[in-house]
Amino acid sequence: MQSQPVLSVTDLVKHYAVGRASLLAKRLGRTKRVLHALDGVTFDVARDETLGIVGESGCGKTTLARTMLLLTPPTSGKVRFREKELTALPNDELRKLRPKIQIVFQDPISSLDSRMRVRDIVAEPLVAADVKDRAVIRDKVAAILEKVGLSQDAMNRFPHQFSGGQRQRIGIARALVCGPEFLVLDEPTSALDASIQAQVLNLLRRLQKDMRLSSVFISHNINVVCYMSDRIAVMYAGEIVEMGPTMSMLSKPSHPYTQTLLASVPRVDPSQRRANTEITGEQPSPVSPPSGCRFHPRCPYAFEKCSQMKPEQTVVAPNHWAACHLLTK
Amino acid sequence: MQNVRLEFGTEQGIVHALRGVDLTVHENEVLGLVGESGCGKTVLGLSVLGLNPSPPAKLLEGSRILFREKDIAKLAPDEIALLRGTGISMIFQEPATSLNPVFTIGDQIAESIRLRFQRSENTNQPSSSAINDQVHEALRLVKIADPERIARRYPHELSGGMKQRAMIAMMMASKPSLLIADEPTTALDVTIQSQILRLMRDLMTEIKTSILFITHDLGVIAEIADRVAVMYAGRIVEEADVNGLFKDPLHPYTQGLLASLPKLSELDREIQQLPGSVPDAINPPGGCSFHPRCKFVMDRCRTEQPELKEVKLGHKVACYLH
Amino acid sequence: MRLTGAYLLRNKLSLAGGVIAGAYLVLATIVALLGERMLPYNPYAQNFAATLLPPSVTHLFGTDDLGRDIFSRVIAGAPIDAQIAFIVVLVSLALGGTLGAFAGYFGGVVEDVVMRVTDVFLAFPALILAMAVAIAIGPGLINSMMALLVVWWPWYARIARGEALAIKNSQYMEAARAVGLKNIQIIARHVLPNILMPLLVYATLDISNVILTGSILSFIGLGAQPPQPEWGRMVFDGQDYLSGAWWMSVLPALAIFIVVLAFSLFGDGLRDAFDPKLRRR
Repeated sequence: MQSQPVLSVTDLVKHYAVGRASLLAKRLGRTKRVLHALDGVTFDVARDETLGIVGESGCGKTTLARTMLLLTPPTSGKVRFREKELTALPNDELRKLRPKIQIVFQDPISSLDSRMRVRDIVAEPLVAADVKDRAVIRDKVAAILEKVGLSQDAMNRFPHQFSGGQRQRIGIARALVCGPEFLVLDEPTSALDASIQAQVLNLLRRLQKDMRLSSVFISHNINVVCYMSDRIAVMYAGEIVEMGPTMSMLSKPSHPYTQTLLASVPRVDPSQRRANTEITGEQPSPVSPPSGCRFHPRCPYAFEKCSQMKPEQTVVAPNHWAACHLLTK
Repeated sequence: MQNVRLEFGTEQGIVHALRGVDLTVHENEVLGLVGESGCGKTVLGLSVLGLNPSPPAKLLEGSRILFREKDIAKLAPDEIALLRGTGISMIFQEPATSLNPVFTIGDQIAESIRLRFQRSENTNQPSSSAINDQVHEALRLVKIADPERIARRYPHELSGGMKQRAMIAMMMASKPSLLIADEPTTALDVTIQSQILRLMRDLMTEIKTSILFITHDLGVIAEIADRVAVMYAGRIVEEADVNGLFKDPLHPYTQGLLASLPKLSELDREIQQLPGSVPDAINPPGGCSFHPRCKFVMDRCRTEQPELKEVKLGHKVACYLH
Repeated sequence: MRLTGAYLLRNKLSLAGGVIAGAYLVLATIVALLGERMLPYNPYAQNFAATLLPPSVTHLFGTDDLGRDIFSRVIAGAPIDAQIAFIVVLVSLALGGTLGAFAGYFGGVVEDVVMRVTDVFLAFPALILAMAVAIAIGPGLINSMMALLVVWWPWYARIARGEALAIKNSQYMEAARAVGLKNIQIIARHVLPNILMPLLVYATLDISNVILTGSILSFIGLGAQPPQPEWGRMVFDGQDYLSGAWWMSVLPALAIFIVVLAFSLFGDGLRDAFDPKLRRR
């Protein structure tokens, strides 16, 4: 089933200049320090597929969400949507493509303009896509609101009159009203209570199937990512360290960080309490990431090569690779 | 805690935050208090030490909070202050807000140690070098490598996990009988969280502190709690030992909560979702506050509020199904 | 959050201010619409038989050196300052607010240029600058209004730019970009509506400043010209008679004082009403 991927990201890099620097020094490229938010991320998303991205704070997943859609210009790297290379497009053409590649944000409160009515918020992508016919706009908004489970009288109300879960539905409605082909979900349920989270996740799953969406689902919560994704990529310190189909990742986690991550997730079963976990230490500073394999300072299996050379991607199962020197020994 | 009721006066009306809470924490145990946002669990934690800001918050008549048999609900603020830090300690979700940014970690821990000595009958104050040793000992206790260096640091120089360890060190330095922990690991990464949880369990056995662990995360409860109380709309709806609760949840809310978590073993099925949302604290539903969302609702549930009753050994539930 | 005593006191004052300001506006509107017909005397009618008469039943505020009834003149002059103030404030709000919004939103060169320009204007006290411009373009009511306009918009630009900066990185702004809106659309749909409130509050406070500055311009002879019954001008006209016919200057000055104070108090209360609410949100 080899068809062209819907979205493909190649060697995406995002560095931020940090520290005091005069305007002139910045222009000349001389700044004190560089924050390595993303350091060469590559992946594809196929039609109808959901790729999950999981990692802890500081791993770069939020930056990835923004940079992937060019909401922040990448430092280098390419992003292709269908045949078009987004990174090479002039601003105006990129803007016109946006209704097709949408994003749902994490915070349902701040991602909606509190001064606008719901119908105007949801209609925005249509406005951006130059749809002028009011009747068409009204119909599409009504249709999508129903699809996400909100009543029609929600249209004339303001965001603060809704609960967190409902606001997130509004955000989802906004993302979907133009019938996008690709969707980025940046921690869409992290701010919601467990019982509401279940509702929203189920809704998302249904919508993805109905509307044949390809998506990237980003979260720090492994359980949720596994539930929502067909394939999973684990990020650490701005890089993907392991990627593969969900089942394969769960049954055969090959990178020590993935193993640690899976081991640290609290199981909802007290009989499975683990005696100890081997992980120590904290996330590395993105300003001066460790040499060689970025995980080596915390890795229980680290050996000499790990601090000297970056590990290559090694295939461990069909469509499943991990970047670890242990695998090439 | 017995029949603890607390309300807040707000512009929109009276918020009934706690509506008759009965809870007991025994010696040497971790009691997990679990509930979603708005159920009142944070208010409950704060009310033990009288930390809810008192003009809007009001503890109603008939509420009793017994610490070692003594009713502390009625204590004057300065008497409660004596308890804070020595008998009962509290740590919060955001260590950054509880740590004073202009003092070093070492200074803050030292302060809590000095406080303990002041309040005990010990007439001779330990020397500052002795206190320093105790500070380093406390930091070592929370598995901070290189405690001498960390003691000289300021809070903003530490990461989230380190700050939380420092908080725990500060609280443990005063060797409290009860530690109230309000979402202490929610803001931390999952790998750091598991380290902190393990640390807390170890400390608990070493210092013989009991912990009231408040969280919304059932997974964390499963990791750390001995007994669990489930809270909904200002009341406790189920209480059991941790194994009993997870194996055989009796209250429909508990069942719904457990079912709504995505489980790694059942990825292809849709998660069972609880309909509706958390009730309005100003106008809670009559009778059993869960009835609008309950699929087993009966007529009785709409009008009478069920009591928390022991239906199996060590397992209490407030539901007319039992 | 509420220092109950002080808050209520200020509240009552600002309510009183609001009532008076409202009454003033109603009066000004009526006069502007109906003209001088309803006044007891024609404000321009000179009567050399009745010069410098003190306040009495027939002439409530007395008469001036040309025998004109001061009370009628004061009433007739009411709409003048009101019109100027509102026009200046509204135009400054629109112009300055939009420029500031653009500056805050785009940043970079646009922001630098707009901000340096406003810096130049803001370096001088508004009155001095207005005087300089008025002198340059000549006396007259319309000219003084132009002078005020030139001088007044930078304040709004500064506030608008600050507010725009504050919301620039909110998530809903990012969402607006993600949705594919053009920059212009984002500014129109999101930036301007969200910065409007603080600007309006400032504008209400500002009206009193404009009225005062406008009157002063007339007082020094740069604004209204005789025989226009503008209050500041009337104070100027009565200067020479202060020891004798004090009512010529003092009563119009009192009118200015009351109106400026009323708008000031009302604006204060309005700002207080919005501040804690903003914090609560």
